[in-house]
Amino acid sequence: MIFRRTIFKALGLAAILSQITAYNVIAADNIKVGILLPLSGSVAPIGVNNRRGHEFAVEEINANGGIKSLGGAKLEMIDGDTQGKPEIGITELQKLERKGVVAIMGAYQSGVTFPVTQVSEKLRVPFIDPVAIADSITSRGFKYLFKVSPQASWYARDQIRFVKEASEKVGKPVKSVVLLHEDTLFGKSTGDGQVAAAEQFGIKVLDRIAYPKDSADMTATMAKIKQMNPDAVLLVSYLSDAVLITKTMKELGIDAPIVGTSAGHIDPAYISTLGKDADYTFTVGEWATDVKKKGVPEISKRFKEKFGVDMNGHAAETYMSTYVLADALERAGSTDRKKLRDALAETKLCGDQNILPYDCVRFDQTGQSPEAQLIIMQIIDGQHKTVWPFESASAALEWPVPAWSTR
Amino acid sequence: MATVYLQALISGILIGGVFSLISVGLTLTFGVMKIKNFAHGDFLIVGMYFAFFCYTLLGIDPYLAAILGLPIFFGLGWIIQKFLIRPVLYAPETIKILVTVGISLCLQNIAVFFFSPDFQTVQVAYGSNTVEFFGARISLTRLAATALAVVVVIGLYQFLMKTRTGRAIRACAEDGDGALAVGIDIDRIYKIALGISTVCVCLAGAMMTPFFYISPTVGLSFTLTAFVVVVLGGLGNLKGALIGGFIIGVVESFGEILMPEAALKQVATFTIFTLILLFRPTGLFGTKLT
Repeated sequence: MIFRRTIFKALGLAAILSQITAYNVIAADNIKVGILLPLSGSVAPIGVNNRRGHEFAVEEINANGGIKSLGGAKLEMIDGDTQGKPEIGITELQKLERKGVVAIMGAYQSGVTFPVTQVSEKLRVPFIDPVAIADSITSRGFKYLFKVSPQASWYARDQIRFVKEASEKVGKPVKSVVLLHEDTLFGKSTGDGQVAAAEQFGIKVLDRIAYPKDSADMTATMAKIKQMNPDAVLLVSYLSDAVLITKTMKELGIDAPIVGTSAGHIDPAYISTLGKDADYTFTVGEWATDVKKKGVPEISKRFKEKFGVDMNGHAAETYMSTYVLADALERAGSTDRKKLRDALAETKLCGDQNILPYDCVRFDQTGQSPEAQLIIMQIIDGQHKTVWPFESASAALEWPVPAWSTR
Repeated sequence: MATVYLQALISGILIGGVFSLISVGLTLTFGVMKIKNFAHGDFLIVGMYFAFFCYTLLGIDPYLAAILGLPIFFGLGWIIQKFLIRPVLYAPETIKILVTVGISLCLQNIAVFFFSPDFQTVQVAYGSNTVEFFGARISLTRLAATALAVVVVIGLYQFLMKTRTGRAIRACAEDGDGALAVGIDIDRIYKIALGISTVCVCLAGAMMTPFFYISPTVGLSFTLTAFVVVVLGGLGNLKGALIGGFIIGVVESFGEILMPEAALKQVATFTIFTLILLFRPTGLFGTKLT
């Protein structure tokens, strides 16, 4: 025991000494960073997972010597629990501000992020939004708001872009699609986005069909789609309907590619439920551990070792957002919120510095990261593989998909 | 376009058979005991999970599992009648409803607890096999389920008409006190009735597994459909439940393609439902209420 303690002491001393020799200053105060997430309540599991990305990045940054321009100061996470409620989010944000955090990151839900950023803007606290997607968040001309996540409307845009690029790549450009979505707000608003994007990219929408969730049978609808003979079927479905639709497409021999919008099609249960029939299905996603960016395999491996779960899109976004903040602190060389804000506005983390599936994280006038984009995954041999954008792909895509009769 | 209509007709008939098989049990218990069984649809998952585990653990084909499960399904109905329904049979209507709703919640949550809320399917090789029919496709597994539904309903009808127990069930349905007076053991008859009812719905569940998914809450929407079918066909009427099931199946199927939005297909269903009740308040085959 005593032996062990001595070792720790020696190590500690060594660490301090190395700091002193490297930067010639005594270790500075910790830099407090506010993390505002739903850590209790029904969405807590997602909030906790979001937090993992921050924690993971903070540990890495501190282990690599903290913020060097601030004398190797370490980042310290200060948690605020929104409980998934806007009003509690606002009080928690005010508490964080009083505790003297340099910036705040959060708050996962768009419905919470929108109102809390109203307050952070007034208090002039830099706010980084890693995950919440609603377009309206960056529509208010805020100066202290930086949104790393893609816009909600880009899900539909990237889905259509993918369909166009993938089909053109194999020399069979898609001319027409059918949109099939469930009839609540999620399906309808995504459907609106798909119609707009299809028009923009010159793809004809043959029909747009809204269906009620949890139908007992959808054969008639699918027969109608078969008759229209689209080049692809674009879906917004929860798991139960996604499974039923795929089964019905097999029965009726509808060979058009299935392109899902996250939700049911990205659920691992889609694969376990359908078995081989799930193969070749496409879906939109935020990020995956097979995205071809430098360091991703190693980072996701360490993440899995530390937390016991796979790193997912949210965790990748919160991880990257933490690096965005560290980079800005480094360049600002100050914990002054105004200076930090100006440094954030100048952010440019490109190529190997960015694990997200695009080149540069930077921010436009509205605070949005303009290059942010989604990825498309295809189920190949029972696994989601990133196939688009092509430069981040880990597998070659199969387009068009093989006919049901030949599978 | 003709093929689409033909396909709608075929798939409507095929899902209609499933609706019939589910509804027959409901109409039987209502006719005999005047019980509105809100847990009826949830018994579907008993058949489904039974077939699922037979297939994944023991490699037993779901159709064989459906037959093997018959005594279990019947016993389940028997036990539920004996311990849960019987004590409240003469209680006020609200109590009876609460008991069946309670059974429904129990079944769902037992399934969630033991089998997780995840979706499952029975992945048999022939699950999606079809035959061409004038350009439309007929799913063989759905056809099997529908054929079975018709066979079961006809068999049940014969049973009620020809056998001694069947006649006793009908006697109880017509007049419980009278049946008691002539020496019929109505407690036993009621247990048999709920047993048969659960057998029908569990059979439907097991037969659906090759073409449908399994999840703890799958029964909910089928309970509602079964009530519509039963009221449409005439409360307590077997023939009504059989034909009502096919009507609802076909109307929903055409509703999907003819309504301005597929999401409005239930508007078509309930319009037909309302119209039939408007002209025949006791349902298609219902006798006059006294």
